Amino acid sequence: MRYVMAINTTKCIGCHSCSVACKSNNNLPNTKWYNRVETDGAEGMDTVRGTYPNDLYMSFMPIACQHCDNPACKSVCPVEAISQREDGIITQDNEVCIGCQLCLQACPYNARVFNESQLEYVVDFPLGDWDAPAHTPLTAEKCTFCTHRIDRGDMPACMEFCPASARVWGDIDDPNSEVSKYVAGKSTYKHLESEGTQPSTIYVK
Amino acid sequence: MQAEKTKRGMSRRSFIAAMAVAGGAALAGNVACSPQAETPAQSTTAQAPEEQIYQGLCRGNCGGGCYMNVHVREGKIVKTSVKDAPENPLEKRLCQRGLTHAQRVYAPERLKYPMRRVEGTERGAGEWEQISWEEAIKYVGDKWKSYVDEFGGSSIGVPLGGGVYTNDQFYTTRFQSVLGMTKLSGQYDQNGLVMGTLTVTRGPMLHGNGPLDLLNAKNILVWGCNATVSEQPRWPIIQAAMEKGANVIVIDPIYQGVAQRANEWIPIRAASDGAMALAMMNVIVSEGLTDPEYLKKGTVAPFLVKESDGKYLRMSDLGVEPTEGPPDRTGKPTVIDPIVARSADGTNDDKDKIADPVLEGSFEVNGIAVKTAYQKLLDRIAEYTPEGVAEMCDVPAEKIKELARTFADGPSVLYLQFGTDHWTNGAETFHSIITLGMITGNMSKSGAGIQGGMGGSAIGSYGVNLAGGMSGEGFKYGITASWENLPDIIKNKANGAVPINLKSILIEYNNPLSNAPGRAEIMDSLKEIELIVCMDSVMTESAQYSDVILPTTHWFEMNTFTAMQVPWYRVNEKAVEPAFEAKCDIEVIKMIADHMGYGDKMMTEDEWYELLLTNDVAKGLGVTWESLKKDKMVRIMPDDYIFYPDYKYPSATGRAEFYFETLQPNDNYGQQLDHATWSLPHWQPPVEAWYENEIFKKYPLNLMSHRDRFKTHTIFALCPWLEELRPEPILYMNPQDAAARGIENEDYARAWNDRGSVVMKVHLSSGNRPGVVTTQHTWYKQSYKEGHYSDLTSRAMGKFIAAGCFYDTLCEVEKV
Repeated sequence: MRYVMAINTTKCIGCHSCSVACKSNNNLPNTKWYNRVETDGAEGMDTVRGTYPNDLYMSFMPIACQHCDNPACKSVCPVEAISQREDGIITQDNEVCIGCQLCLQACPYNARVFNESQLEYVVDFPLGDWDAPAHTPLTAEKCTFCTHRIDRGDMPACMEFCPASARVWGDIDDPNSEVSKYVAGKSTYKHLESEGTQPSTIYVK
Repeated sequence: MQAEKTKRGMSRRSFIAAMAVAGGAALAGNVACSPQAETPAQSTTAQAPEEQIYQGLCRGNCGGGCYMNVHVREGKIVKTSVKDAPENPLEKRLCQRGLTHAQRVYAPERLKYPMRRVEGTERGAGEWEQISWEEAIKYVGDKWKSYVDEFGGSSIGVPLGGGVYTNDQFYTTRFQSVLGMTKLSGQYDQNGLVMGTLTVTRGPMLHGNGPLDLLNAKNILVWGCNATVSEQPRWPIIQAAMEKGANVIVIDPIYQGVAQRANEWIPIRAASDGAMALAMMNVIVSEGLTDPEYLKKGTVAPFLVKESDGKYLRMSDLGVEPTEGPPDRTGKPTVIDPIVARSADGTNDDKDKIADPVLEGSFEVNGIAVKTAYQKLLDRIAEYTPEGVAEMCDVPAEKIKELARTFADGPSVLYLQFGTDHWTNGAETFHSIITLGMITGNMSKSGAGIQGGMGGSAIGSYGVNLAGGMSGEGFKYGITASWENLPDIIKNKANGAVPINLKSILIEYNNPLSNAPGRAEIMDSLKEIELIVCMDSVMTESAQYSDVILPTTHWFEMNTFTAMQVPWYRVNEKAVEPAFEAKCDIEVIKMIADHMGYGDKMMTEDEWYELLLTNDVAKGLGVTWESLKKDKMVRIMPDDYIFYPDYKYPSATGRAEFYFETLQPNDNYGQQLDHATWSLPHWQPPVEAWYENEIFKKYPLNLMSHRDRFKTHTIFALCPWLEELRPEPILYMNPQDAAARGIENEDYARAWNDRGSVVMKVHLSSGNRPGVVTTQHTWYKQSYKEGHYSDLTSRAMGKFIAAGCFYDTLCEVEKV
């Protein structure tokens, strides 16, 4: 059993539906995002590189915690707040986390966010899933693979509706799972594999 | 670094205490607007609390018409989520904006209670006094009554936008009809939509087939539309068509997301699209790639046109007395005088009696010189060769020929949005592009026709008794003028030949001060208006500039329904009680009507929806307001609907018309029209943003705007989550144009022309054609460092159709 996310960058249109679904359902505090969508073009969001009208290029790459098998965050955590579940998901215990932010520096994917002492929200009651995990001041957080949802049989929030059908998730150990069948025969890669993190997210290119 | 001092095993609380000593006050930060020290932790054994799910409709008029789940806990909306499509997963719709509604309901800019501008303060100064609903209704009602008594109902103007298409909106339109208020139509997208109606007419899906028929296309020409952003709700269908093998060709001056996804991108000089369409027709005609059968049976092509006056030759010209037809809607008898066509053997007769009419040629009939309408088109097309337009379009002649051949080898879809619309030559462009579809027979059959914002989108009036809703005994109706002409209407006290003395404006369901072109001049003219009333749920830019604000409900705090955009009746359920003192628009209008003494003309909310669902379509489906509230969604049209497959178009001639016997613009505001020119497709340069115009020397950059993926027009303009993703307006510039002006990425720059100026951050993007700068058209004034993008745009409209021409704007840019 090994949960993974597969993301097809040849399909992603950069809409950020996955990011906002994540933000909403996890009731993320202001300025905190688990899942960002990077433009692979020029420097800003929705920009294009090349020389008009030739060799122009822009694509999009959603990036969140890659749920690595050798997570850089875990190896630097001084208090063992980070662990890996049997299904591969990297979890974090915010009761243990001391907010030292070493994991933020260690993660090559910039996937972690730090909660300051005062967390702010747009409204004064919790939004999103009723069982969204609490957000604790002075801790580091990241994508939980929506364990609160998948453990009760639901899908991760980012999977709810991708208009480009660019996301597939499931058990990569099961050859008959949707994700195994989706990536079979496709040209794939893993992001920043050279970092030795053994990321689980599969990018289809 | 704090962390270096920590030791393994140190508890979180003791570490925080240590940091508080080390970091001091800096850690405390600012006090949050809505601080929550810690959200309640949920244990895995916790029970799910009670949560109700309602059906909500997003109504930004992005083209989506999305239906969604609205989740409510303890009387508050906590989130929205995607709702399964009842029949086809390709109809599932929700986006990054629709996922933020819980914020919008409880937004910081939410209007809480009726307010009046403090007497003696300037409009827009932000000085408000809270008043009661009773006082607000009396204040507005008394003023309006005095204007109506003295200057007539037309003294109250109501701008109409494309804002919010649910059927509560038309209750206000009914009230306008009762008083004869002036409808100040913001003429957004009208070059395309009016030309679509004048040429191929309208059906239940606007000018084309049902959305899923796109899956049957061989070629899809995405023309002037960044479909991955501006057509995001329908993108799943385009993507599915591509996966089925459709050849997607994008024609656009700007390289954007859709160009990246397409099989081919054809860069073109902005506003030259119509000339290229004419040249493509030239190729198609000269290479024999037309569809004569469709031209004969579906279009006006074989009709004989008199050389003398451009009117059709009729049987009366051949000495056959006209006969009397059935009475029209007003009860007047109609005249039947059939148009004449000609057969190959020289017989001239009623078009319906000529089985196989000739398409081409000039003739003399009864001493009258005539040509077929198609011959007139051929003569016109001959003026535009690929070689002749190549330089102007900046597309090689060979590429134009190749594109023409590909398109003719259909079925081919014209996927049209409004990139080519927002120009002073937009009407001509759409006339030519749609005619290209006609001559190749790419109309009224599967896999062809018009899609995009112009087709494949339910019209909203099909199956909804809007005509009944907006008419009644003693109604005064009033005229429709153009919001863009407001300064002229105020100055001349007339629209064209019709006198209007505007005293008050009601802004509801739209935000024209952010959205309409020519903002600077329009703002100036509003000084002459005595009373501006704004009904909205949030403090829009237009609300900020009004005299009285009447707070209305968020969409999920009221009941309504629509049949627009998605071909389903869809109900929007009231999920929660209105926040603060907000009231539903229908309730507010009813209160004003009651106060003014027109209460008997304006029914209750339930009676209104019952009336709208009193029509043959609803009756056939057994739909009533009560049943719809229960069933929530009822399909009214098949998704693979074909646009008039029998060619029985509801036009004056009963055919698709590339030739116009009479010219019928949407607003007769005084434009002078030359029939010989405008009766056929042609191309003219836009009045401002064209490289051969004199003003181009002073202002060499074309400023165009585009939809932002985080907003729908200005809806969601201040949404906190979305502002985190795109915090401020961006001016996109080609690196070459930026370098010439010493501008680097992330610099702030001023764009200006004689009308106005704006300062915003620059992002360099090679996708921008050199000479073209672009920005989102979706921000309020307060989001700009200085000025407003829309102050640079002009009120200039097309010479034929009244249409907002945002893109026909030149400017210069400098680093600040």
